[in-house]
Amino acid sequence: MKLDKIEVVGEYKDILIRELTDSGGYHRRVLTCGKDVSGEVQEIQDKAEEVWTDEVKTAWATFQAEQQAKMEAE
Amino acid sequence: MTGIIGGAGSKSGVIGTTELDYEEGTWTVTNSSATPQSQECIYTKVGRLVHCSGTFESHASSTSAALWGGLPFPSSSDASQGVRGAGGTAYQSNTSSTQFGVLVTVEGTEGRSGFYLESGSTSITFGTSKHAYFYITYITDS
Repeated sequence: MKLDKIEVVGEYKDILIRELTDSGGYHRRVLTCGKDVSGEVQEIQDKAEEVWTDEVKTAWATFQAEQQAKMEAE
Repeated sequence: MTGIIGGAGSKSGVIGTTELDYEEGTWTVTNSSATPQSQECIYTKVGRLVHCSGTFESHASSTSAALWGGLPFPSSSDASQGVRGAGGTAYQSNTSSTQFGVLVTVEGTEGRSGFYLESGSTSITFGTSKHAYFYITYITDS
């Protein structure tokens, strides 16, 4: 597959990867803040380093903890 | 709705004053403990609504973790949305239960691309070489 588009969305800087398949269709995946990107192409690694700041990582961890608490309460 | 084909699998259109994007493609189910040995998963996105469906066969020698991942777009972070999405299985060969629910969640290593297969309130792990046919519909912010 060939990298087609990188998008950064939301407060927690999810990185949306769109790739082109051999047949010309799209393939999608999402890299959430803090994911291991060591196996990704350099362009994706650079984007992750740029947008996943310590501030974003902290905010994401806080949000996850809040969601976990909410689910356990339901 | 009127639309324009903008490229492989994508269109854009307008309903009233709201501009909608449309895209379709494939995605890959992930599992931190046992990557499925085969799968075929597709998605269609219209505006903020994402519909996924597919089938997979679990790992040949390892039991899966309960949390699955790989959804093609992150589920919404808007807490006021309540449930972000859900779905079900049309068929599975994992246990004596023939159908599971699917719960789109925000948790753990899969972030906002995670989902559970649920039997009642129990999250299901998959044994080896089991099949599932499933669908999921959820809301994204992107």
